[in-house]
Amino acid sequence: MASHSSDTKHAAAAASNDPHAPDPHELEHLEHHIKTYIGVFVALLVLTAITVGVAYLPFSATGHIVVALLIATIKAGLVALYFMHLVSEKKTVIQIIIASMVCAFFLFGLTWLAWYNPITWGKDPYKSAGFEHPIHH
Amino acid sequence: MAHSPSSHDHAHDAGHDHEQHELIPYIVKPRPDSGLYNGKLGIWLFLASEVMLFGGLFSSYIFLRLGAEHWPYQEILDIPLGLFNTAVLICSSITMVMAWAAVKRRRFGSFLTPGTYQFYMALTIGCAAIFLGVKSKEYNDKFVHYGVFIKKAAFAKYEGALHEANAGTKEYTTIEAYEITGHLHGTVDRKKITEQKFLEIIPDAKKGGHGHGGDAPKEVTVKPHGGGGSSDHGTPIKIDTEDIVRWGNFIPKYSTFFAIYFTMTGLHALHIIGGMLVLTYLATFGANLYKENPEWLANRVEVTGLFWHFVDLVWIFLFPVLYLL
Amino acid sequence: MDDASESSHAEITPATSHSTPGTAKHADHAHGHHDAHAHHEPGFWGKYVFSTDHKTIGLQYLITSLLFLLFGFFMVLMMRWSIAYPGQPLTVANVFHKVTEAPSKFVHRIGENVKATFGYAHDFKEKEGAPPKPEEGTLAEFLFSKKNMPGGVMQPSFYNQLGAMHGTIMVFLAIVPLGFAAFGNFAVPLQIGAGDMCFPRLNMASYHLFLWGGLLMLFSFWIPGNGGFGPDGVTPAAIAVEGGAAQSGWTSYPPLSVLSNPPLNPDSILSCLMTGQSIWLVAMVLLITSSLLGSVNFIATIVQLRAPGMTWMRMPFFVWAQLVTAFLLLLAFPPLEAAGIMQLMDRVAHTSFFMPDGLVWENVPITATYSGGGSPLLYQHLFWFLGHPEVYVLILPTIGAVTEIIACNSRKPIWGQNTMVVGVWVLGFLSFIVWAHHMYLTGMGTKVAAFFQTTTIIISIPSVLILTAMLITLWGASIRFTVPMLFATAFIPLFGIGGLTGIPLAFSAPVLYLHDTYYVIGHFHYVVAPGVITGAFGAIYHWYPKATGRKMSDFLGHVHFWPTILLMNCVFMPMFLQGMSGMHRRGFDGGASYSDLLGGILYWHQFITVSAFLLLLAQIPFIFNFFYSIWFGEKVSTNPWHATTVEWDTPSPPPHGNFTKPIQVYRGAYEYSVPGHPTDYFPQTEPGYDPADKFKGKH
Repeated sequence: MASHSSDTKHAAAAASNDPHAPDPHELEHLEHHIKTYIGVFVALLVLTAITVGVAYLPFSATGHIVVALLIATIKAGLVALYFMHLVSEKKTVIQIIIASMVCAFFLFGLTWLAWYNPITWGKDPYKSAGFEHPIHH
Repeated sequence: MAHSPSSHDHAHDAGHDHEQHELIPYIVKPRPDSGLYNGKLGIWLFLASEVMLFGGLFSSYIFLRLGAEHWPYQEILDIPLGLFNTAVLICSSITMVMAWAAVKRRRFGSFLTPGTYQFYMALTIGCAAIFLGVKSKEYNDKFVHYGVFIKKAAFAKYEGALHEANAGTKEYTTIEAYEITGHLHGTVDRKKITEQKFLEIIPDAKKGGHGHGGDAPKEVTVKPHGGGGSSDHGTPIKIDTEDIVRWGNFIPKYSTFFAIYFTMTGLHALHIIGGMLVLTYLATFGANLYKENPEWLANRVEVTGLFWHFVDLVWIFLFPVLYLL
Repeated sequence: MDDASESSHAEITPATSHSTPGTAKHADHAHGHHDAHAHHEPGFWGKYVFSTDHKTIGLQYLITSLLFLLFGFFMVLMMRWSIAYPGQPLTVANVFHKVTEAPSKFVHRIGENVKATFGYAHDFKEKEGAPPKPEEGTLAEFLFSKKNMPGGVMQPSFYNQLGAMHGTIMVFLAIVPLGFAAFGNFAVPLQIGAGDMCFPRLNMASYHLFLWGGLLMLFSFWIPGNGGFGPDGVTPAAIAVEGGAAQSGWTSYPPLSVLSNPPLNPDSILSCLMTGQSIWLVAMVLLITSSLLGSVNFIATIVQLRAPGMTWMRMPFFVWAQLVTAFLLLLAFPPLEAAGIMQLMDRVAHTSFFMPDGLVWENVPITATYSGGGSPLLYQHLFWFLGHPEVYVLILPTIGAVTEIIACNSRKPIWGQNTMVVGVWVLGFLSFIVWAHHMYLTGMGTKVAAFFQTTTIIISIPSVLILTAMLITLWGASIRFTVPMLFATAFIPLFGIGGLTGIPLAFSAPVLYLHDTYYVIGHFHYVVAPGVITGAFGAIYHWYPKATGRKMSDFLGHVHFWPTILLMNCVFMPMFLQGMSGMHRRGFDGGASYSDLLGGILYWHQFITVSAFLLLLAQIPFIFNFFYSIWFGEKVSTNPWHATTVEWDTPSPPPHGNFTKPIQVYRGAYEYSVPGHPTDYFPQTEPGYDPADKFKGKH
């Protein structure tokens, strides 16, 4: 086990006690994972810089929203997949995430209702429902 | 790793932990059919509910924004500070995951030995503290930044001076008023201003045309630092209180934007504080568990890390949504 | 780490490192852990107050929620008095008088109805003297202060406080903790063969958050007001502050809830916090946090701690129902928490999340205080996003418990158990997309209404499936009408009435007429009161022997059952009639000011009120029975009902750690009357063949 040379006092004590020694197989994976973590870290910083840079480019409002949310989603995906180990997580966790995502999807449905609820302010309800406004005619 | 939860309890005698261990399996080793140990399942369930909590706030944000007559774009919040804070949180995420990896590799170390568990924990907590410090600086900048809603009927009185100062104005048809923002000159005391019947404001310079609809192209200028100290240049404009619908500094009640900004970032900051408390415990008293069962400590660090990454993840969405869009 | 502990590792590790720790755990028990740790026996506080044992926590929840149920009932009795006899003092003598004279008055009323039907002269006017005058020094005035009940007569603002608190207490502090937390905590780990809940200390924290949240909410009744005067007590105050609890109903719709219960000093955050509505919100955040911790705990327990052999489809239906309930709480409650935080911001920091532009309050535009730009509808959406799943949170645990009782007492497997499991999941899922059917009258567009009408009608399918499965289970069974079974069988039609009367409310057109009438009150009370509470009583009678080792008295059980069922119908059935006649739900005087319009149905108020007071009397046998049987009930064996599920395979009451032997599950939950088996029940833990395997052909 490569890590033994750098073990601290506690770890050495633990290593002498068989149950607490790290699994060599797992350790090997871990060394590989740590490289991934650092790669993800760099990617996150770069994406953050990009999202700020893009904000100053002359896109339309919709374009800005799409680009910013796309980058945020990619970043969130990286954090979730690698830092939160979703890449190798068991299906129980995936099921929980799917359940919460489905419910969150419906929760965001209430923003859709804001457009369709005629007594909601903001966007002209008659226009958004495809009618001409009665007051203007 | 022929280690099981119940083998562990003979090694120490901390009342509750001891008792729990007899009754409850899978505290350290995962249950074969679910593939998870208890804590990990618990934290993922908790995170699912957190998704719904922040989901509720984000959908409220969209709901309120869709109905708002104006929404501040980039001109009000301090983007460089927000960018810095984002980087700080990302750093804390990587140190968090490295702390977990260090326990897994049995590198306990001390706060000052690079590459060890305690070192990474100290870094993580330090990043969190920096984040909160920067955040409170940002809050403070907002508290000394003011906005005034001038009645539409009286607006002509001030139009010339405002134009000369290149001040940005926004029209609100719902309350028939024009909004200008800036820094107060002279007294900021509400009572005094009511007595002297006027206030003096140094207006913020005009930014790109992000008015109603927001389809206009944005100006490629970085906003000057809007700190409290740098507000004394420029000409103050005197506005009579009788011409004002309302005025105030940028606190939650100022507008729905600031309401949702302070609520979401405040709730996020509460999560940071909660996470910091747990991290501090795990780095100090909780670290004693390492001597008894490093795998168990690794699990606790992993579970805390999952929460911590989630908090980071929320900020990844909060930053563009509040600062950039 | 010393040598001794290492050697103990060496001894224990081989025995426990294989893949069935459930067995190993119990083997540990058999090796005398109890003796070894006798000195760890917790004291009074550790045992009864800060216990981490799921059974104790379940009983704590049970007692607390039953007390809150009683409080909520008392509140509604006072409200009912004001509705039926507005302006009359609430005294013991008056109540006694009204209750005793009621039968003759109703006979008179029926007689006049018969006369009217056949065209004879009739007179509905009561032949009675002047109504009683307000009295000095009544008990009600003493208990609830002169401000709220001067001379024993209820003031409208106090009625509003009681109304808000009745709803909140019944939903969040009585029914949810009773069905979900009390029965769930007690029975779920036992039924899946676990030693405890997955996170015992979290469980304790959950109970204490619930308890303190509830007490905080009750405390809000005592918040002082200024009586209309400034600090010196002479000069009139700018705002007359009533003090007292929240007044905006259990739904707390803004902008009313943001502006009602005004603070003494609007500029002070503390003053804004110390108002009834703010305390309500803070308490709700505590309760929501408690529910979240509880639901995390339940799901983790059910996923992680099932005993060996307890596969998913062998789980009792009660556990399934709890699992779905936990998911509903987990995912539906946080949006309300978000809404609660935002409303608290509106009240304390004067933000405008829910305050629209141009709002005028008591003839004063409030643009100076509130920036506007918010939306009251946003709150309603967030509230009902919780609110509708919450309905299923109320119902599902009881449906689960009733299923247990029905299977056990009809001595048959549950008909279509898999269908029920699928049904309950579909129910849980659909409950997330029906919420806006509470909001048809907010002026939503037809497209939105069409969507929510469709989903609402679809959700009735799984509900009906579950009820039908219960009914078919009864078909052809030789039913044992034990006391729990009486309540369980009563649950089916009563819950059915509640469900079926909901169908008109699923469509936006009838809702135009029925919204906010007594019809709605009748509908949801039939679901929750005669439905859920009946089932909950059944569950208490069912699991009482397991919790105490003694049975509740059958005689007192019957004395409790029959009047309760009769009177519950007397209370809620007339509400449909009143509602369809247009009776609005919120009047403190029961619509007396509309008596010209509603005269023909107003007298039902008195019928309902008298029935409600009698319903209180009918609970006395239960309360007595509950405490009497703890010490003097008939002692019972481990399995008094001859039930199959795992919780009946351990001593009553179960010891710490629940089981005295390793639990291995061999078959499904409801193997009653299995041919060839010597008894008519085949416990899950008894070795032998699995009848289900025979049909699958993979024995």
